[in-house]
Formats: sequence, C-alpha cells, structure tokens
Amino acid sequence: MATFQEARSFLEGEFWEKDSSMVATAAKNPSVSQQNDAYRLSRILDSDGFTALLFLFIPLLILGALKFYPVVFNLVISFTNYDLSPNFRFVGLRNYQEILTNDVYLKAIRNTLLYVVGTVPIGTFLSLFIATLLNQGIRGRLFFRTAFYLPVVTLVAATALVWRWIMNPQGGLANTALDSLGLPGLGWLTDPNTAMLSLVVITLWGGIGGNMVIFLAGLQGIPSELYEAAEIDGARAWQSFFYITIPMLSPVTLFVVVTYTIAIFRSFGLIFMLTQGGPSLSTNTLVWEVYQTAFGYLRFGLGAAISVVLLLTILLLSIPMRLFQGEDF
Amino acid sequence: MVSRSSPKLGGAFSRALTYFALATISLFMLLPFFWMVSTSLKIDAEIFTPGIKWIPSQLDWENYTYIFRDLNMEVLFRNTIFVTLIAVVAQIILCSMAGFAFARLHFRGRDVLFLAVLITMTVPFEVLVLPLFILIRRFPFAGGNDLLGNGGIGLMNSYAGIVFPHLVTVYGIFIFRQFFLGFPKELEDAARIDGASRLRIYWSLLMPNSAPVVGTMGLFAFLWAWNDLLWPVIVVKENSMKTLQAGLAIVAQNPSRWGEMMAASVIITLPVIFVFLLLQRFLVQGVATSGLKG
Amino acid sequence: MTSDLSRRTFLKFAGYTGVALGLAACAPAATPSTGAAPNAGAAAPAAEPVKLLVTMVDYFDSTKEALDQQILPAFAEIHPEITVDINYTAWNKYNEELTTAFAGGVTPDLMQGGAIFVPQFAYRDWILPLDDYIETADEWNWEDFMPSTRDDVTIDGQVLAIPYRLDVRTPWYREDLLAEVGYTAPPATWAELREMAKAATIRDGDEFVRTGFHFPPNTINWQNDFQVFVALLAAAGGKLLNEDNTQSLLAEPESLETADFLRTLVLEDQSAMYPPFENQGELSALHTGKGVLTISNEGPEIAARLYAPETLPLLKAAPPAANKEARTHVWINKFFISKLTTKPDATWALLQFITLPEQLAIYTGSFNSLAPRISLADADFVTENMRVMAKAAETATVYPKYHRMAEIFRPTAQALEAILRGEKSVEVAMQEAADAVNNILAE
Repeated sequence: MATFQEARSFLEGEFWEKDSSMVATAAKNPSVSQQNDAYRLSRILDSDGFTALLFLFIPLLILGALKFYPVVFNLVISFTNYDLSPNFRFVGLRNYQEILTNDVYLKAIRNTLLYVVGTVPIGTFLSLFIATLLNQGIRGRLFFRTAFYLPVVTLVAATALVWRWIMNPQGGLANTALDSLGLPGLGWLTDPNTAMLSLVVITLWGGIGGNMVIFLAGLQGIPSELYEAAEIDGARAWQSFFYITIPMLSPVTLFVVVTYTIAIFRSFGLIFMLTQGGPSLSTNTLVWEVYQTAFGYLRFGLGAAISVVLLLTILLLSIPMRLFQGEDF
Repeated sequence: MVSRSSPKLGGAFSRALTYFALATISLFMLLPFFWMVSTSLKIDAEIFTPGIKWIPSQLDWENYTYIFRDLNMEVLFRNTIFVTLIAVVAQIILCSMAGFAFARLHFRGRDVLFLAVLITMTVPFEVLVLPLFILIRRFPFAGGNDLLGNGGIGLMNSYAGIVFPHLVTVYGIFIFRQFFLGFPKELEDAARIDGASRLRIYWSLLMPNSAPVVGTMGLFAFLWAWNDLLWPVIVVKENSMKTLQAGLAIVAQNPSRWGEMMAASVIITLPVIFVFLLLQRFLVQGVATSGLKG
Repeated sequence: MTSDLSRRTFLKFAGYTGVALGLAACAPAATPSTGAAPNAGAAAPAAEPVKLLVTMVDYFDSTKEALDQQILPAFAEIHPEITVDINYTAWNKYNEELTTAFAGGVTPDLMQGGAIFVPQFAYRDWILPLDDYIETADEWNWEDFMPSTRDDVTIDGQVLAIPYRLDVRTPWYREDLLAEVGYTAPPATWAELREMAKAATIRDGDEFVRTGFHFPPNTINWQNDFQVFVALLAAAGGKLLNEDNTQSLLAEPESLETADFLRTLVLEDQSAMYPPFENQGELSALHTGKGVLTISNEGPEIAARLYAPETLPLLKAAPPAANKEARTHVWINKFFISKLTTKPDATWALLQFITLPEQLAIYTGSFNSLAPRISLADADFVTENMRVMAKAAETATVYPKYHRMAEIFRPTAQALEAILRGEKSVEVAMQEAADAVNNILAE
C-alpha cells in the first residue's frame, strides 16, 4: 500500500456476490449421491436465507412485541377517540384534521424542527472533532474522555436542576459570566426568545459525549497506514483530518446524524423537567404535545395521531438525507 | 496503547491549543457534576444560601447516610445490577446477530425489513408505553394469567418484565449493521474460501474483531437499562423488586429535597462511570486491520 | 417551600388530570356490604388475611415515619388480618403509572389524587362510590369535613373520594418589609393590595431590587400565574365555567377584571416582576427579601422553618384580599378507592382509619398541611398562619367538576401569559381563551 489512494480503495472494497459454488468446492465426499445430498443440505443450511432466519428469529420476535405491535396499536387508535372511557368510537381522520388546523401543532412542528436543526449539526461536528482530538496520544486522554462522557450518564432530573440554577436570570452562573464580560444578561429559560436556545445548549452539553464514544469506536477502523502515507506525502494535520478522517468516517457519521436526529425529535426529558413546553409555547415540541395529550388529557387517540405526524415528519426529513448520502444506508 | 488512527498533531503551539481547548470544554462538562457532588455534601442550610459556593464549608455525609439507611439500597442495587447485566448481554448478542444478518446476508426483503425496523426507532417510548404495558400485564401463562392473559398480573413485578424493553434495541441493530458493513470484506472472503460457514464468520471472525462496537453497545445498553425510570416504575409496584431509579424516586425525582436528591444522583451515576472506565480499553483497541498487513 | 414544591408537583399532576382508568375485562365492580364498615375501636376482624396495595405519592420523610410507626401499627391492632403494602412513588410519573395500571387492569386498591381527579375518573367509571360506607360510619363523621371539600368529591350525588389535604391560596407577606413602607396590616382589598405593592417595590433603574407583588415562579411544573389568577377570580366573584359546564366564563366581566388587575400590577404599576424571581432552591423571593407580597399556600412557612428560620417570625398569612368578597380558591388532595379492587371492605377500613380525626392529624400534620376536617382547624400542628388559611378554606371555591379540566388550563394559562408579557390586550386574549375552551366543551 504505497500510496494513500491504493490504501483507500483497498479498504473501501467493492461488494460482490457470494458464489455458492465456493461452498461446493469445499465439500469433500467420495460418494456422488451422498455428495449431492450433503451438498444440497449444506447449501440450504449455509444459505443466506436460512442463516438470516436463524439470526433474525429471536431479535425480530422480540422487536415485534416491543416495537411493531405498539406502533401498529398506535396507528390504529389514532383513528379513534381512545381515551380509556366507555365512549370509545372510531372517528376516522378527525384527529388529523384537528392537528392540521390548530396553530399549536404547527408551532410544535416548527419548534421541533428548530430544536433538531439547532442541535444535530453542531453536536455531530463537535463530537467528531473531540473524538479525533482524544484519539491521539495526548496525556490525560482518559480523564478528558470521562469528563466528556459524564453529562451523558447524569440523571436528567439532576441535570435539569443544575442547569436551571446556572441559567437563573438573576445571578445564575451564566448571567454572572456574561456580566463579567460586559454583556447583558439573558432570560434563558424564562424568555420565549431564548428558551429554545437554552434548551439546545443543555442538550448539546448532555449529548456530545455519547456521540463522541461512537466516533471513537469508528476511528479505530481507520488504519494508521493512511495517516503515515499521507504524512510521507507531506500532508498537514488538518489536511489529514479533512481528507482522511472525515471521508473514512462517513458511514459512522451518517449513523450518528441519523440517530442523533431521531433522538432529538424524540427528546422529552429536558422539556419535561425544565419548561413543560413554555414559556409561551416556545419549547413545545411534538413529543411534548404527545405526552401532554396522552397522559395529561388522557386523549390517547389524539396523542397517537400526533405521534404519527411526528413519525411522518422524521421520515420526510430523512429522505433528503438519504438521497444526499447515496445508497449506503 | 497509543492509537495512531488520527492525524498527528505537530508543533508545540497546536498541542498547547489542543490542551487548552480540551481543558476548557472539560470544565464546562464537569461543572454541573461537580456542583451536584458539592451540593450533596453540603448541610441543608448551606444549599440555599444565595450566591455561589463551590466547596462546602464542612463535609456532611448526612444525605448519603440517609439514603443508605432508609432506602433499602442492597435490594435496589441487586435488582438493578441483575436486570442491567441481562440487558447488556442480551443486547450485544441479539443486536449483533440481527446487525450481521442485515449487513452481510442476502435475502428477499432485507432492505425493506431493515427500513421497517428503523422506522420504529422514531417513535418515542412514551407512546409505546401503554400498549407495551398491556402486553406485559396480559402475558399468557405468566404471573397467574391464563392463555388469554386474564386473571393474573402477567410479567409485572418480575425481572422479565423489567428487562423486556432492553432485550433488543433498534439502535443496537443499526450500529452493529453499520459496523459490519464497514468491516473489510477481504478477511471475510478469505475465510469463506477456507470453507467457513456464515455462522463461523460471525462468531469467530467478526465478533472478536468488533471490540469497539461491542464496547460501545455494552456501555450504552448498560446506561439505558441502569437509568431507566419510566418503565420500572410502571411495571413494578412491589418494593422488593424495585430498581435503583424507581426506589430512589422518592428523593431522586422529588425536587424539594435537593441535598438528598443530589446524593441519590451521585450514587446512581457512579457505577456507570465505573463501567465506562472499564470499557474504555475496548474503545481504543485498533485490531480491525491487523490481519491485513503484509 | 418544601411542601409548596411538592404541591407544585402535585399541582402539575392536578394540571395533568391524572390517570384514566381503562375498562378492564376483569374485576367487576364490587358492591360494598353495608354492615362491614367498622367504626373506630370496634374490632370486627374478618377471618382471612387480606393484603392491600396503596400508592402513596404525597409524602415527606416524616410522613413515611408517621405511617410506619404510628398509623399502620394502630391500624394493625384493630385489623390484624389486613396487611398494608405501600408503594411510595413520585408525582413525576404518576400519570403514566396510573393510566397504564388502569388500562392494564391491575391497580392499587387505595390511591391518592389531585384537584381535578375525581371528574376525570368518574367519567371513566374507575372509582368506587363510598356512600354506603359513609352512611354507616357515624362516628367517623363525614359532616366534620368542610362543606367545600365534601362538595368537591361528590359527583352526581355520589361521594367518590375522601379529602385529606387542603391547599389554600391566600396572601402572604413579609411583615417587616411592609412595615418599612408604612403599612402595619395586610391588604384587605384589591385596591389596598395594589397600593401596598406599589409602595413596597424598589427599583434600580430598569432592574427590580424588590417586587411589591411576587408571582410564585414556575418550578417543575405549573404556571403559577394561573394559580394566582384562579385565587383572585374567586374574590371577584367569578368562576371558570358556568353551572352545567357548557360555557366558559373567561370573557365575563369578573374574569376580565381579574386578568386586568394582574396586568396592572405587572405592566402599569410595575410592582410585580414577570417572569418572577426564581427560587433559590426552596427559598422564594419572600425569604430573600426580594418580594413582599404573594399569594400562596403554607409553603413559605415550611421552607422558612427548615432553611431560613430568621424569616419565620416575619412571614404572615392574611385573609384573602376582597374584591366583591374575601374569597379564594382551594386545591384538594384526596384518597379514592379503585373500582377494580377486589377487597373494597378492607380498603375502606383502611381509608376510614387514616381519615379519622386523630389519624388524619398525624398524617396531614406530617407534611404540615391543612386537614379538611373542621375539628382539626385548631390542632397542635396548625400554626397561627395556617389558622388564617383554614378560615379562608371554609368559603373557598373549588374547580368545576368537568372531566376535561386539564385541557382547559392551557388556553387560559396561555392567555394570561400573553397578557402579562404585554403581547395581547386583556379582552382579546381572554376572548380567545374563552373560544378555545368553548370548543373543548362543545366536543
């Protein structure tokens, strides 16, 4: 692997079809008919289909109960007025109609998108950047990694309290810091204009560590030969970062972006603890609407419909992402 | 071991800059946690004095002793550890198997099936909770139920019930799939030529070389199971079966007792950090390409 | 405000209406047998052992102690065959807990609930009516419960829950700070409230150093400006809904007047900060001297006792400031029995026991709240301030008995927020809210 180019194409590798004749050549049996039977059996047993069945049976069975059934349940009740009362009846598209005509839901969609757009790109980039930094022979690597991961493991309830205290508009740490820099204080979580921003900051704080871990794992898959080759060719650190690290990590990055996006769309804990959708509905996201409608108002049918809208929103958003990334998904 | 899978930083300046950046951000990350620990060790009166006081003037372990004395910690810990370990093992095995199937096996409808699975990830757990609980409660032949799920309590108040949502996760399947997709084909093809079955490839080739992703998933599975509050609270009403989160809910979720709440948070967090430190080594094992040299 | 915060969580819970009970296939409604309700002291033990599951969500450490060491042992003496299993949980996930429990068909026998529970649950036929039991429980004395609380738990003529805790909102103030600006008595009318708030406010340019009127801030949950509104609405002689819950009264003169009063404090007089000063943990602006007057329950006193004892003698409760009448609003916590219970008699035995005057005093006293019994208005744990509040509770209003109150809160709270932030005028905002509520009522 003398040059970077060679190394890269070596590793990217083309996918090619497995030829089952390879299996046949491995079988060594004297008798022809026995050979045929054994061959057929081993063909079946080793076929992709059978192995897939073996491997997927239990996981998918559990997933069926865990995910598919509740999702279908939800879909079905979204066309009803299910509220655990005796007045259960089918209402067709009425829930959806209510959603599409009520301002609150449109605002919720907007807030959700804001939340996602504010958090995912920055968060992904920062996680990648930090993972790269922490993958080198820096002293205190372990300490830094642990420090970055700590927010991820901290309980939401404690996190919320601490951040509420930090973002206290009167004398909280945040405004005190701003003040010392000569800047005016902000309303943070109490001001409709800055509440979402505050939420994004806290979310980033709590989320970077998680994705950092994934990127760290992904970075292990990049062989050092590439960097050595590049160094020989005279590349500088940032060039290596942009031309080796980022492209080589692209499947991992895609994974992080997709899962992080979905995670933010679903993010519930912080809003529950800190703002409950306020102030002035500025942090009212679709998930919060779902929760309130379902467990607050006990209108599970309507809540289910909102969750379907949420699902559709995510799907719609992910289509351009998939097209952008090509078929590797 | 030092991994060189990154561009090497040259120059004292960029090194210094790096350290500075890392240190600053670390401070930002650690601040809240430090404040949590500090609060948990303060005497009550000091928690609420206006102004910012980082170090308690006296170390007061009252909050911790209260929790250990009054809240039946051994039972809570035992339950949580047991459930979490099952979750970790189950997720690693089942998700890697499914991930392998989706990444490396060809069968009709594979991509559609994977997409369907992936779509379910977009649904928040709060939405799934109600039907899921009904299923657990009405699980046939469990907890006194008959075939149709009547008469008993199903899997409520049981380890099986608590661990159920943590046996398989879509995230786990997704991450294993991505990882296996990125695995160099050459090794696999070499093994196939040598006559290995797919099962062998999975078990003897891919998995042993998947330390990073196994470590990652192990950590995440541990974290999710350990920190799960909503599900155990719904499924377990019996004090002897409660998990840490549920059992400490009376302090950990009750914001009117800050000191105890912070102490509870610290107690719950420490084991996860410990596991993180333990699994660190798997995250930096760079053996994926070792078979390719030469 | 230790109990205030747990009340706030409770209020959030109340704001969320609690849990709906699913109609479960199993557990038919049990008919209470009239002769079985035991009176205090009379032992009528049933033969077989019975185990009860109780979910306790409203408690302090001291409550746990009181239950474990006093109440339950005393109960066990009378009913040795009944074991009580208490599941201590938190308001945070209570909605989800109860909803799923009822939907799944397995519920606790005895539960606690918040202010707007009963209509919700009654609508879903989840609560066991208690009339038959109460009829035979003479010594226990239902009449001893305050009339407003008895009314609150009665739906369509059936008593569905037993109140155990009152959460009354009256004016609280810092005696010393008020005296500083020349007032030695608390405000008796809205006009006085306005005047005193103005006088007590101290500003430093644009910033508030001290607000005359302090809105208790949002903590974990509910909009406390809304709670203040509801408390004042009672004084204005107004209500949220009309008699048969078919019409919103938010656009009526009383509601407008109340909303306008708040607007005046915030926007015209600038004697109230909105959003208000955040709490320092449990301590509110009243403790730190940043606020002088507020409308609250006994939380400030409890927090002061625990965390700021030097302010304890300075905090005073006052009777409701009158507009048309000196009246306020009360939130009531209650116990109720699940209709799915298989041991109604035993559960009633326990419920009745806990709510006897002696036991209730221990129980509710353990979290320093007001008990809804008239005979307990002067109990040992009742402080001077609490006595004032108890008096106010006698004539206080309660929420309309409408099963979708939780949904009605939001448009109302939003309207208030818009008004207090100066985004909309009172008429426009309240009319919008009234329309939104009418839509809900019409469905």
